[in-house]
Amino acid sequence: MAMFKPDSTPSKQTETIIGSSVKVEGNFSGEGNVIIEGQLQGTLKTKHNVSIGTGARVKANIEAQDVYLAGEVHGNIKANGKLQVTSSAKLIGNIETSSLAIEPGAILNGKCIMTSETYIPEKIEKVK
Amino acid sequence: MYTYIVESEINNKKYEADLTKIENRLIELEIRGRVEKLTILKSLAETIKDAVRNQSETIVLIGTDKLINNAISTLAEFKTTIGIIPLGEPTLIAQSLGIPYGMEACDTLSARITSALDLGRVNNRYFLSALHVPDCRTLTLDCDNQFQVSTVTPSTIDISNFSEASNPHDGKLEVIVRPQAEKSIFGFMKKPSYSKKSVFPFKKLTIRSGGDSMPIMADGETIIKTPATIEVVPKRIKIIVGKKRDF
Repeated sequence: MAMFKPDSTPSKQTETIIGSSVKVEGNFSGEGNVIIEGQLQGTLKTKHNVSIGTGARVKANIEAQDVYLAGEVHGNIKANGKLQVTSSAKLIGNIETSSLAIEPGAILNGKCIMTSETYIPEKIEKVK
Repeated sequence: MYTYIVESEINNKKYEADLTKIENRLIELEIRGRVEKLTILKSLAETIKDAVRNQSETIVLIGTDKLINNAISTLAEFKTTIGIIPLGEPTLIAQSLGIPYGMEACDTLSARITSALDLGRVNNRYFLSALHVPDCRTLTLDCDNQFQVSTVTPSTIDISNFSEASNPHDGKLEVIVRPQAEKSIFGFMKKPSYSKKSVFPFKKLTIRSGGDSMPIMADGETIIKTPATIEVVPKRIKIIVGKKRDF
């Protein structure tokens, strides 16, 4: 009897890699993981994760699940999952994430909004 | 009914024993059919069209990647199932599809695991596996009318349907940009090395070269020159694949 493998479930997830030898301009919208080692200018949106390497230079607003930042970004970052900023990172822009980790030495200039929980101050009883 | 098309280069004494083994195995598996041996005077496209006219349900290509690449544009026009029996060199397409070499491929045919695969199209020519643009200084790639990729250093370009990170039924092709490493004094002693590649999945891609037109090659032959537009045609062909396929 013939065996049929369902075509609807791809076995490999396609990854986008912006290497150090190319320059990308425009609005990039993808579904897989994105690795940036080169230059990007415009916008970047993906349902998966973004990794920005140490040599990368990005002038773009970024929206992704998890973001690993080790390079230079001029723009806002929205990470629906985690945002990890290493010591070599430089970010000029705002960040919005539910989980944040920043290493000592990282440069951040912008606002930070944490989206996981709304902060509700506990009631403080008056000290008699 | 099966039609078996034998590549002209395979149709010689070197492969006579292999062809006999294949024929015997096909008889054992009860999937024998009409055999068409290609010659200089017998056109591949006409042979395929004849097979379709004779209501052949499966057309099996016996030979190398060259035969598959040459047949694919004609086969893409019909809904016939395609089978492959790799014989000769190179047979990288069959390897990616998980089809074993020579006589063992008959068992893969008999098992009949079929898969609907995407094809690439450049102008009116289809391709199954890959296109190649050799070393070029300045290239601009316009992907899906959304973003542009410019090369900063001399690079080679590969457009791939299934190899490396590609998946032949995701409705996309991948363009892979490989920068050529800088040559040193002893560079002539080494093979050119490539590093820091870039990969972009796309549905439609326009390639423009800065200066002169660059050749776009398939299977070592120039098929078109830049500027060119390449697009994916999703699930265009039904092909018999092996269990050990790459995707």
